[in-house]
Amino acid sequence: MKKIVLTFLLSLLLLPLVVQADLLPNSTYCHSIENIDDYPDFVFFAYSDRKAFYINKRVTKDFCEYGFFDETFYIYAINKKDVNQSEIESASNRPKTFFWNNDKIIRSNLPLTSVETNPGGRVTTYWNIKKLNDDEFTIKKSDIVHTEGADTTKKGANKWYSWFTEYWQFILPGLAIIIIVLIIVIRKIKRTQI
Amino acid sequence: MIKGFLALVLTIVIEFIVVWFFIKKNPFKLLCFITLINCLTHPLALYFYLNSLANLWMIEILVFLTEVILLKLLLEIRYPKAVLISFIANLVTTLVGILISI
Repeated sequence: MKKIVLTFLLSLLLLPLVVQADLLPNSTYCHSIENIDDYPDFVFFAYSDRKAFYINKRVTKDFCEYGFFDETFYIYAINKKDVNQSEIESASNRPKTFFWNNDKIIRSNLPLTSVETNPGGRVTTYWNIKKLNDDEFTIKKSDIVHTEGADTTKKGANKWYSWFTEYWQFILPGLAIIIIVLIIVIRKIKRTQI
Repeated sequence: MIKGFLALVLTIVIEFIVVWFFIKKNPFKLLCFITLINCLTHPLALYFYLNSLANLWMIEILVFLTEVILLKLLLEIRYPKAVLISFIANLVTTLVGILISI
């Protein structure tokens, strides 16, 4: 039994090294917010202050980043009436103050994550703004397109893993709590029977 | 998501090694319990860290307390031992996490 567990643990330790190959910076990740022009009263920014992936720029409908697979950042929106040009410029000089301490700026409900990789090519994720007002900014993924040279492949955004990648942080704990409760209940039932 | 999964796998491995140091019996069962406990706490901790409660130490304290209860219930050990195991396991994983992010 110990050998099985040790082999399993060793394979778990080696797994990150194997998967790391997929994380090489070999794709261009593009995002297209299809109906951004329907919201002319707002200014949009892409921002992430993570050390491994820093992004801070004003965005329009389409924008691309070259980098690692699975990088995450959010889109921020601010109503033009709540911001002046100098404040917009300060976003690049003092981003933390602008993005973290500004109660007028609204963060998208979902991070803009590319859940697929396309080595040497381009992955474009299409987004749709479902709701945007001074308090709420809801976006939804509508499509994923892979481009390699002149070839374009529509992947679709409704695959099970696309859904899973958005909610795995709740699905996994949900399953775990069900199994834990079952273990405890079954154990108690067994003890009362003895 | 991939990075989240890798972090989860690494956390399971580290916590198993720490728990194994204290409880040297039924390794497979132990690994299953550690996996279950971390599948519950790790994704939620990651979610709250990225989305609302950006205070690493506050989240770690909540994870520590949750794991104390789960270790006690699943491994059927006394609270002082569960507290000790959970404290060391979470301290080690947090320090490894900080080291990796530097």
